[in-house]
Amino acid sequence: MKEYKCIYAILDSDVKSSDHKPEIMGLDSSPVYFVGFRDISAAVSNVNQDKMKVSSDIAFSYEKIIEDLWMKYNLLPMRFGSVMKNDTNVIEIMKKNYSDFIDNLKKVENKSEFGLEILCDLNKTDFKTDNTFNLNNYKKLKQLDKNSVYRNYLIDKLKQHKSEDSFMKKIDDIIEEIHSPLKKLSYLSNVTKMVTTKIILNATYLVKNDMKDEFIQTTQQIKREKKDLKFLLTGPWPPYNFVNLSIK
Amino acid sequence: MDDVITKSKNVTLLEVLDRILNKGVVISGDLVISVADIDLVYLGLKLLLSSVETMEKYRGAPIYSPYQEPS
Repeated sequence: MKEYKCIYAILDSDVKSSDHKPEIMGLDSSPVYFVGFRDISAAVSNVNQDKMKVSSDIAFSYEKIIEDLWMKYNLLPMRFGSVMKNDTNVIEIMKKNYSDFIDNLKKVENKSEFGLEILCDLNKTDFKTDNTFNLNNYKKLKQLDKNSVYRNYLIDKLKQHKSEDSFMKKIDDIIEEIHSPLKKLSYLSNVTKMVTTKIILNATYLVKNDMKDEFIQTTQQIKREKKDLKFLLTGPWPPYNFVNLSIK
Repeated sequence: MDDVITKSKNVTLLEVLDRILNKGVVISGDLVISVADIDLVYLGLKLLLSSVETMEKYRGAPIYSPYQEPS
């Protein structure tokens, strides 16, 4: 049966496979070994096919392999499905992209990733938004005939717009109150607001390892202050979201 | 300290899938790369969809708005 090489991560050390005991088992029950180029290495294992299958068990296994390596080495996780024909190809990848690998490895060194989602049931939460509407602020509208359908329609639309605007400002304020202290504790962060009607914030933070406890404690403190919101904090993760590399 | 960290397996599976399938170093070009063959795509998607569906009920439908900041 033909064998392929699954790459799990690029490590910032020249790791010798013989030095690495106990072995970490890769997918397809083959041990992970290391292919070196200069002062970096690729963690790889033999797999039976070039088309990687994904299921929840395989996903967890793949992630665990990267986590096990991450406990010992600074690394760049490879996207699932990174399969090559042979070790020579793996070395070629490291040779071609050496400086990008080094730059990214330096960026994530001694740091961990945290994911934070803030969920909110908008129907149940009272945001106390400002919904007051004063017609006196709209002189031309006020001059229209009181029985005009256009007048009533425009008033309804203006009220709706004002309400939505007020609501989004409130959401922005809440996000700022959560994100701002966490951003100060992190080295880098990515933020997406209003991912769905219930996820008002989806953020990832790259945190220095000596700041991890403070980051978690601060999140916990914010959670206590925002009782209407649900906090989903995950981590520490290897730096998946802070490796921005598409290589050839 | 731990009570703020989620333990839910469904949430963690989504977090893991999001990371290993969408993030990390990606190889492009003419190398041998693929994610799942036909049968396993079906199996994989079934698993993925059930998880996503469960979570979407809880989390709400995706929306597309001008309030999204570039990452």
